[in-house]
Amino acid sequence: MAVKNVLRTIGRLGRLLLLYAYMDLMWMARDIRYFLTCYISDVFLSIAAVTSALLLAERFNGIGSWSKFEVLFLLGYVTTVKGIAESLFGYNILHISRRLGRGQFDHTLIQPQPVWMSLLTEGFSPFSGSALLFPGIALMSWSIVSLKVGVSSGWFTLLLLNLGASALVIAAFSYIWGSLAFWAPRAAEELSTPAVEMTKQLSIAAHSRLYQGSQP
Amino acid sequence: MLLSDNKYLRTALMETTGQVGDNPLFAVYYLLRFLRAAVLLSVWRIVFVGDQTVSGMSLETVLTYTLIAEAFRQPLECRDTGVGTALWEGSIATRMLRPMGLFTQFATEMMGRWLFGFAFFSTPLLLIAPVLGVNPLPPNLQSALLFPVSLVLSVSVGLALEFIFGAVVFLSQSVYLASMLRDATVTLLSGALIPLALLPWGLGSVFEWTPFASMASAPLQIYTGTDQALLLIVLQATWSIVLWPLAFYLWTTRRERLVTYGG
Repeated sequence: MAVKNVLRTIGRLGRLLLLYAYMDLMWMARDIRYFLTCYISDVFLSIAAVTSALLLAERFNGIGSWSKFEVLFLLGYVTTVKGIAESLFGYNILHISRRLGRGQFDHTLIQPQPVWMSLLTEGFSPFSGSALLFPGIALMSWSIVSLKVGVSSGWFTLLLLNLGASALVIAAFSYIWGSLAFWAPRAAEELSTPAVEMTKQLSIAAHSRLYQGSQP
Repeated sequence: MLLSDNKYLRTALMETTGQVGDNPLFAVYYLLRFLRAAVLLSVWRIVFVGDQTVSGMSLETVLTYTLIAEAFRQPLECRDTGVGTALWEGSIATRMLRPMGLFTQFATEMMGRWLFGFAFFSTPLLLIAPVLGVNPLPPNLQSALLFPVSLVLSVSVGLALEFIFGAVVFLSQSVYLASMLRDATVTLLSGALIPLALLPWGLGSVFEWTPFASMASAPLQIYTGTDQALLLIVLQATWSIVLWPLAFYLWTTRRERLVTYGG
């Protein structure tokens, strides 16, 4: 009976993810001009955000003990993590304080399904949320080739695990701070935004161990 | 007329006190700003090795530059006008009915917000600068005297750009696009985050002629003792003279295209 329930839950999760992916596609197709405007803006801003650090690394031939391409790898990593978080927890699921502050969380509470299921699926936006994924993957690939990293299946699996874990840490941190919106809806409405930005920047430190582990 | 009856002052003070009334969690935001300043200062200490001097900038100069950039971040960015929010939520329509010029409303409210930030963030940051190992003082009297002049011109250029980017919303119907474009260009070109002189391939010498450099790089260079202070002030004044008529023109001619719902 228990196994049957688990399988039913997994099946429902799959159907909901497909449904939200379809709705995301429909949102994109509804007004392609508006979609492209947002998408290109996101790409432009993500490139601008990493360009400053990249230019600094170029000027000083690295930052501290990190070489130019190691810095590039970290910037690619953090951009990819942000892209994953935005793709899995889009539509203000990641920035939960906005939903709480605006009273939109009530819509989730009255749905005939567990809250965790809604939060895991409602934000799935593989199309609109992917604006940061491609620049991030491109930056990482460029640095991996330049650094001549010994990429093995184990290393690649660890990389994927790290990326996923970093995205989850960012989401958790956002939820911890964003919960303040239960007590101060108006004041804490935007609190998730600086929390996400701060954690995103700090998350690159964790990844440095992965890269160093691949060095002879 | 009593000073307290001045409508501009009253508007600014409403915004200043509103920071506390509307936002009891304001301390968290300022805590994050302190953290950001501390991180940036530590990054420069890692980047500069020993007594290295790069493009005429020593570590001590860069630290002072970064500290002043963080302390005066709000005026140097000019992002607190609320133009984007007013266009986003539609309250721009009711603002047009108020007995005060549109630009004046946004500017006075913005300065009210700065007053609060200056009291609760800038002043404490400058006071604890020696503890952080940073000298917050300008190197000479000329820099100290010219910095306020340059800062006023910087705000003038920043405000004009804020309204020009606001006018982009009229054309594109997208607050998001205008906001992202502004953030991206200002982050890279203003010199608020990284001094333009430290950019590679001589990019800084190109960027310093843009209006974005007049927003942050110019006053910060003057504060840290550049020998081109007068040239920078003339450049700032020129951009101010060029950009304000453009901002007025765009808002006057394009406001008819504005469609709002809400507010």
